Amino acid sequence: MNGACGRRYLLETMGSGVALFDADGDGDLDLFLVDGARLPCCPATSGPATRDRYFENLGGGAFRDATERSGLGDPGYGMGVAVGDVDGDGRPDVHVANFGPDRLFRNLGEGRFEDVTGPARVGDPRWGSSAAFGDFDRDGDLDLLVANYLDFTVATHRDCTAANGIPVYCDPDAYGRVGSVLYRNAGDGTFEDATEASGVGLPGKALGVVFADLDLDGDGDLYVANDGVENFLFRNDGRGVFEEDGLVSGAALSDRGFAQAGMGVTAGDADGDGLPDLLVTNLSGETNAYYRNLGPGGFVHRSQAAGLGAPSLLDTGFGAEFADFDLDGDLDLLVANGHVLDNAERVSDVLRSRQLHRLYRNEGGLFREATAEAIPPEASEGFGRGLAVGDFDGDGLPDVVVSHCGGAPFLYRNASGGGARGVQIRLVGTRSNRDGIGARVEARVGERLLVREVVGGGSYLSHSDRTILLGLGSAPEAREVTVRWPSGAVQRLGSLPAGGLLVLREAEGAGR
Amino acid sequence: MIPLATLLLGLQDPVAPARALLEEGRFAAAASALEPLGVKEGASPDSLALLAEAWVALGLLDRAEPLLGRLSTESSPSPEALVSLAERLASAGRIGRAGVLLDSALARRPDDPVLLLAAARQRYGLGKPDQVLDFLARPGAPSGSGAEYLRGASLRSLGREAEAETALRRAVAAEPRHAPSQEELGHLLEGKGDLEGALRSFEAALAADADRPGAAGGRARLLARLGRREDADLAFVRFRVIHAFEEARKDHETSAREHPEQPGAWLALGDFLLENRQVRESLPPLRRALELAPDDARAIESLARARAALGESEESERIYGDLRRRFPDRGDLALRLAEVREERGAPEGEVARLLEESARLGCQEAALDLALGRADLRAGRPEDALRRFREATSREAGNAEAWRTLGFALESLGRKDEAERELRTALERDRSNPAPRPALIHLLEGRGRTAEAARERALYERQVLESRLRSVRR
Repeated sequence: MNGACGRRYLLETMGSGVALFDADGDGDLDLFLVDGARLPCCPATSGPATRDRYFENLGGGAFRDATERSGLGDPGYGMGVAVGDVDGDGRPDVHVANFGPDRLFRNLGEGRFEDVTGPARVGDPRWGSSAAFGDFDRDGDLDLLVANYLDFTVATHRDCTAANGIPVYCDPDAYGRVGSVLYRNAGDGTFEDATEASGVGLPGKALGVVFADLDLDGDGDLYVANDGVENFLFRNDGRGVFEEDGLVSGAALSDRGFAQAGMGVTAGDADGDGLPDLLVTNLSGETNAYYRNLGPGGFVHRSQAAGLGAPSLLDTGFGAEFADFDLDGDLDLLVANGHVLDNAERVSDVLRSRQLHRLYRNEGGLFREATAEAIPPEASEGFGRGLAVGDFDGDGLPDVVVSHCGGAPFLYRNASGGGARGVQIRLVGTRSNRDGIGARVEARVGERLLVREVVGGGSYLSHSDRTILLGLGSAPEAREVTVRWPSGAVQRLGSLPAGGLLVLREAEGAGR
Repeated sequence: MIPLATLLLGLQDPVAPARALLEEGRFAAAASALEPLGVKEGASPDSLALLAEAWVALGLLDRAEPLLGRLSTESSPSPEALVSLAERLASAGRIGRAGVLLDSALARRPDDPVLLLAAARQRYGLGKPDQVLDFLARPGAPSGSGAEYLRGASLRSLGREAEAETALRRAVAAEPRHAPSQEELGHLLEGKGDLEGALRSFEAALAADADRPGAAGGRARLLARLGRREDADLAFVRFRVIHAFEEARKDHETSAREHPEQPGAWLALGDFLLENRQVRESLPPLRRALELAPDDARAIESLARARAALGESEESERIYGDLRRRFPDRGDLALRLAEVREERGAPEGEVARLLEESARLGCQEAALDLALGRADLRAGRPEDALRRFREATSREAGNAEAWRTLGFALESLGRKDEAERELRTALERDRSNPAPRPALIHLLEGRGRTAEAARERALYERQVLESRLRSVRR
């Protein structure tokens, strides 16, 4: 639920996230859905009291509500979710960003969690949105960046109208910027607020965040998608101190030089050159922004030339992930769409409130929209917000969950045929952080070199499974598979056959 | 006074003056002037189109719709009138309706180049590049820079980069100062890795339109990538100024859009544009503010300033005269009137009387000191003039005009060393204030010290940009 009661608080239209992760350690992906709440300013009749929901995977993609037993049923007004093993015990912990105090849940095993927000000191009361785990200071444990959205409270709500006098949700310009917060993991169950020391406290209007090595210097950088103001690219100096470089790098604005309504963001090597590119979802009228990575020097905006411009012009995109949905070896793109205005049709005669979620198939670096052939029409549109990718039915193909604002989620089971197969690699860090965030996997498939990175954050308010997937197409194996860990260790695995799942533990004696 | 509507109806063709009203943002005035025509048999199709446009501009789409229906079926306005109406519809969130209107007009005139180009533009706005190409391939389609730009941009969004480059090169060959084509070509070449070519295109775009954020950002990035650090630093400052201006403008426009009935929102937008030298663009919001609050003195004053800046001194004199009658105790208004009258060549005595009146009323502006000083100079009282000019610089240290006037006066009196000393002292006293520098540059150039002047000019350029950035962000 989003708590909407007619006042059009901006909060109501921002939606909530979704996570796919193995919460109970049984080897399959469970589902966590963040939920909004009844707003205190709305009458009690505006809907039932709600809480975040946890669904246990019973195997093969059938789920059972296990919220009560899990302890994950936070009743706060939930926005985003991030998952990471913060205490290195092999069990993924859960951070929930709220409109109100955020929450951290420590995984006790067997799908049970305890709220450790207080002792961990991560209960920021501001309007949190997305969050990303990553080992920012490379000390072997996971730190956390929580993006905050706007300087908004129910008391500072403004009534806004479109040009034709129709009441609408306000543009984010109506509210001030606010800084995000970076927590450094102290290694003893607590976190230190390192926002100032790390340099990431620049005020913005952050909605999406991803942690990935964007300049290929061996440490993870942070990219923040801001709504209506320039996006940030924080380059890491290797010690967890960041310098904002968005404008200079070319990844802050549209090619026309304007800030856009950055919502979600995903990073991945979309053009197959070994460098992580970025895709930022935006508001209708803007097109999504595809920033092609040119190397350490920066990015070039290539939405139009990559085929991602025109088809997204009327969409308002939120969650997005690059993933090899057809296992042909390149990264496709799925975007959850849905306008922020529940009455968009009254504001513009070409906009729709409920929008199509779009699949873009990668065809040699040029994306072709393939929604009609891939997504059943009866489940193809809505007020899409969160989006997470993961193989929840265990068939080796990446599936998808899309959350909707004020509505039920869609679970898309990947039914790609054609006989293509892949190799899955699940990384377990030892010297590096346990989740392997920041690790790079390289493999030769035919003549191609595939490069995949375990990233932190990504999409919109959501968490996707971190298993590395190498799509092989018709090739029987991936050759010269190499893992470069954030610790600097390098593991060469030789060939891996199609169809396999490898759980790879960082080797103690691996070379550099 | 004769009512505007009567005046317009009495004319042979009311379209031109009504269009002028619309362009000035006086939507209600345009609508009331044209409305009687809307119900008349045999009304000219262009006046119907214009009336519909006025309704759309006022957000009264229900009233516009019957006219749109008539224009689609019975009436055949000029392509220019239809295109203007279509653009107004699109900016009011009715780009789909604009397409229907253009399509119906094209059904009657399938090879009209103006309509074909407009229809192509409308489809581009909907993200339908294949349809853009279809319109531009039809008989009668134009082939100028605008059409080639649309063709190039559409081909690019279909991934047909080589063809896109050909089209964009045709566009810039036809019109080298077509900034959108130059910028699009710059992006294309940058994507291809032709950094020098891209830089040339971005610079050509900026030569045609210095305020294009996309080209300014592209140029700065490329200079950095090409290792030209100093040039890149300055280019980034310039880009940040443009970017900050566009962001601030967007904020003001959003506020006006979300609160269209609040005159203050339109006035803030108009004032912002005026302060940032977008004088002509400031007129429609200022006019809109005045339509909503006709007696708002601040809006009237802003309009007068805009008129004066556009060289329309007769109109600004009239407005300042009206304001003076309403606010006889305001010395600044007397000063403004004096300035406008001086500009129009009024007798010196008349101007002097207004200046004295301004001083008597306690006006504290440097502009008054300068005007009085200039009068002193003309009257052969150089020391009095210099005293007033110095007074102006101490009153408003950031006023470049004051420093320039003081520098010129000293120079023309043969006291060049004194002028240089005085200007350098001012620059040292406040290193963040660029205002005295243009006068120093002029002085150094006059003394043949061109290398020093060039160094000062580079410093000044950067300082001005940084100061503008601070001002826009504020």
